[in-house]
Amino acid sequence: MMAEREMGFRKMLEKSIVDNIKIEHKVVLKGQYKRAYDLLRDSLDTGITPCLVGPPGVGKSLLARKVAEDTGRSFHEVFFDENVTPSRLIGSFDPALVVRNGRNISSFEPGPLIRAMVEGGLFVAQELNRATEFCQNSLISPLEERHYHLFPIGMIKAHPDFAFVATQNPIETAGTYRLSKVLVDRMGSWIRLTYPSKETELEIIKENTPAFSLPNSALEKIYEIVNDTRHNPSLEIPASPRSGIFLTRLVNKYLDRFEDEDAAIRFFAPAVLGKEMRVKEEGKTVTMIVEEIVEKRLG
Amino acid sequence: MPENLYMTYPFSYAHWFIPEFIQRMRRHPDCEEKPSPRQGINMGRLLLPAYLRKGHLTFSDLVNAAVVTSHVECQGLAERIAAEILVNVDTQEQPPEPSPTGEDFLSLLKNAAEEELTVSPFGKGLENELGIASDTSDVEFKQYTNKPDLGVGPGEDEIIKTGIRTLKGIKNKETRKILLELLREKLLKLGTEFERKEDWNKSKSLIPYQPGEDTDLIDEERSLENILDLGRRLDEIRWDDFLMRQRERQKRHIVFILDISNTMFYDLEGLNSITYSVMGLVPLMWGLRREKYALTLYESNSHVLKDFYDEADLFPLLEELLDLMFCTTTELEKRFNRGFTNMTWGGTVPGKSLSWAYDEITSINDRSERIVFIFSDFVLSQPGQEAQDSDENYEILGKMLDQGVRVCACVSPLAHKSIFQPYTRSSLSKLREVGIRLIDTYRPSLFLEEVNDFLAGE
Repeated sequence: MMAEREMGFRKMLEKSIVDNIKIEHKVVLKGQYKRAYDLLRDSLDTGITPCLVGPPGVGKSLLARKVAEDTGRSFHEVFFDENVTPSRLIGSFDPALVVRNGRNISSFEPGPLIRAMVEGGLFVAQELNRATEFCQNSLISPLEERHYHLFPIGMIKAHPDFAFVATQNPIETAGTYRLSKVLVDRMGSWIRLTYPSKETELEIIKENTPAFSLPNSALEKIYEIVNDTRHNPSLEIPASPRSGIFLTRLVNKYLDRFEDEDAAIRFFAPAVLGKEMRVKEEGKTVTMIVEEIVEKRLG
Repeated sequence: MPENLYMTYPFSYAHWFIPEFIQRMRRHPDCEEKPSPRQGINMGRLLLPAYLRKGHLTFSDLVNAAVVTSHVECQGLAERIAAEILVNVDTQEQPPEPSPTGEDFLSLLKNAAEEELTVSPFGKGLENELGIASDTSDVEFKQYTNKPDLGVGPGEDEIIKTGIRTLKGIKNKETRKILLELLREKLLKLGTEFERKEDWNKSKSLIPYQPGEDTDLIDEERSLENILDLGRRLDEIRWDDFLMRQRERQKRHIVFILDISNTMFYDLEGLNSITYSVMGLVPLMWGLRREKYALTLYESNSHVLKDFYDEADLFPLLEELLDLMFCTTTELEKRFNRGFTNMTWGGTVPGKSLSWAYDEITSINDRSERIVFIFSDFVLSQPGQEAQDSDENYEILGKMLDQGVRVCACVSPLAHKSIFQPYTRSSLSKLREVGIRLIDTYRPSLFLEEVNDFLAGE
């Protein structure tokens, strides 16, 4: 029984392997996103390495994925933290194969950066400011000289279409590494993204909610609640557009369980919005603040 | 930025605009990330697509290129300077041209003297010359001339202590600044050495090699032994037969508690307990800066300088700690009480800080290693004082230990002096009874070595 199940899983796994993940919904390219998209493409077309800077959930990764899709590049990404080593990016030699075949291409397991360099793909370094200095240094020659010296195989030259995009969070957290001066200098453009305008955010929420059927009044209320967290002085990290999307999805799907939209929003808001928010005022909790905001908006 | 159709520029304008922008940014005192020549090249590259699309450049194209290629922290300034150039405003004062006449030369010298000084002690040959920065301390530092063992180690400790004693007697601001800078660098160097040993300790235990890991982490000798022990033939060797050094998966959570009560400021032989504590605390915090940490000071009241989630920069915190060595209790009281002094300052009441540390550290999941360092002289009781308060402190410490938190008491050497012993004897023995590790802060480098052992669980 177990063996059959295992075989079944392996077949399903084989079926799920795809070359590249496609974006399944329309990307809203308006306001700051249009400007950022144009700058991203201009930067990549002119050989400049861009860095997208913005709070979590504003669409940095999606924008990079959109550029990869529109320019026909394969997409590779790595989320940096202190455990990511250069060998995770570059790849490493399988020691068992090295013993049998020696240190050559056949015993080398490429990492995402080398794959992107060789295939001419787009490599996204997510949260680059969390990378250790050791890791940051290994990015310098692929960025500047567009090659990497892989000992003892030799110099690996990047495909002309190879592109590198970095993203980083503007909020410095304890334990976060600063980007080294050398790497900062090699980042040619710093594209800031912040929370979108009301019109853009409402459109983003609609586009990302499957079978959207909520009345405009409900959508407006959700937006106002999310937006209020961004102006609340007690909060250090407010709710992102992603939280607005999640809240809308839940209200949209389960509205019929509640008396009205207000009751649905009131029920889901603390659980959804609280997940990423951070309080700076002593004596207050995220739930207290969300409830205050919801009460203010819904009465 | 809205387009102004009347303000259009040919591409050749960029050849003047870019160097002008770079120069003005470099000259500006508020510009922290000075633009490099590479930024100029990038600006030109970024302007090209805009020009090719429209056949001309606009005001916003030029400002955008200047802003986007500037580092995030300087983008506001870049926007202002780019706009100033385009509307022909130069608010920056031009630097004076050098002239052979003495008057101009003197004004240049004066300007140079007013500039901020940055000194690195790592210049060749200046490694152990802390006294070179101070003409008043020649005599004190001469005793260390040609001593071969004055690298990182106990010799370095003496240099640091002499530096602090000398600093206390120096009034000249510039000299103080230079000496303080040198002192900080020396303490951070000890911290870096501590960090290196920590990294080595972390990587002592071996695990099977994981695909995608750094092959440099493989311990070749132990791997070979393992393969031979397993009796593998060449074609049977698997990747997990190789053994690699382990990486730390979770950050430690560390609370530093520093006593700033009045007894910490009693000088004996030119140094007080606060100095000994800061000499140990600063390199320790530097060495553990990659972990999650919190810091609180206490006297009769608690003063939390940073909790785990606070995004305080480490350098200002270290500066604040270094400042403590040269403060009087009155100055300190004014600083924390917003300019006021009162009778309630200066007692030794660690209870609130310990409770805060307890709440802070026990809110962290026990999968992370949780540690509390207490820097104090441990003069916790006075003759005739109720024992109840201090008993509560030991209870909190006991509760911490019960929950798997490791506690280290960093004891000032003055606690062992005859003047303090009557008060510290019982508190130190109670700490030992509770099961807390006691480490002496007499020599910073030895203290750090012992902390290395403590963290390694030895």
